Amino acid sequence: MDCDLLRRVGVGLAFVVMVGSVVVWSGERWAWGVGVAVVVAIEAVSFALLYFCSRSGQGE
Amino acid sequence: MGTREMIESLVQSPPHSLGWTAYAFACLMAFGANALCERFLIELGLSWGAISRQARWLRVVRWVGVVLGCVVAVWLAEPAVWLGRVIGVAMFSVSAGCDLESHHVPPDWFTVGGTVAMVGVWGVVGGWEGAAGALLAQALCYGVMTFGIAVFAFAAGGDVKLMMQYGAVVGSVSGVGLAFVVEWVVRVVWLAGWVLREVAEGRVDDVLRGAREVRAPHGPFAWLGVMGWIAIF
Repeated sequence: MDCDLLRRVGVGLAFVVMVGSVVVWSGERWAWGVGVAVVVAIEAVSFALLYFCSRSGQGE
Repeated sequence: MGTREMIESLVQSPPHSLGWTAYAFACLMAFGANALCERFLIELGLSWGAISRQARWLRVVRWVGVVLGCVVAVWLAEPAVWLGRVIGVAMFSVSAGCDLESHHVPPDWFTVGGTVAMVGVWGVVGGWEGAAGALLAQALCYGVMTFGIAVFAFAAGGDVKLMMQYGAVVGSVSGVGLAFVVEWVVRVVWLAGWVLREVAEGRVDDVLRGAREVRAPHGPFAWLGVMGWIAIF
């Protein structure tokens, strides 16, 4: 696995999470269900990628 | 406010129906938080017997600060949210206390598990909107810290998990924004004090050359941000 690439993807997704959480929060309450689910799903993927790469120590 | 009014306010204000019971619960939570923090510090080799005299004073300050924080969380809360706030402050006190004394955050099971638990607590206290608010708040903190560390390198990797817990404890995006502001005001004041001390002790040249590094753990400032948010909201 190329952890250098995976880290970049993880950080890019973190940026999406940062912007997405504010967008969902400022949106209509009725749309929170889908918005929160999408943001948290992206966050989970980003976290998993960065966690995996920090543990494996690859791509240093 | 006189002493009598202060006592009346403590007993009768937010958790009207619980009175002193709420404060007893806050003290119990604070004791549990301090005890758990001690356990994590012992795992890091920082038991009472292994630390310096100065570090022992810092530990006493942490014990007192956590108790005061939990009591204030009850005192200033609305009846509907006092339980979520006191649990959140106690939980975050463990992480901030560990960071204060060891510059390490607690193990992942506590930071990540605490984040999930706080989403559950806000769900119980505030229903679906409470849980959604906490999820969004911790996601915002995760995004800001991860992106910030990757681009600006302003913190260490463990701080990401610390800040996820911070977001979940505060429980709302607007609250996180306010807590950030309070936290940074405290940081700037602390930094100004540090510079003044260095100047007073004749080390201004070292400071200007960058020879003296400022070592400030993130957790305690974040904890003060949480307390500032509680004081304002």
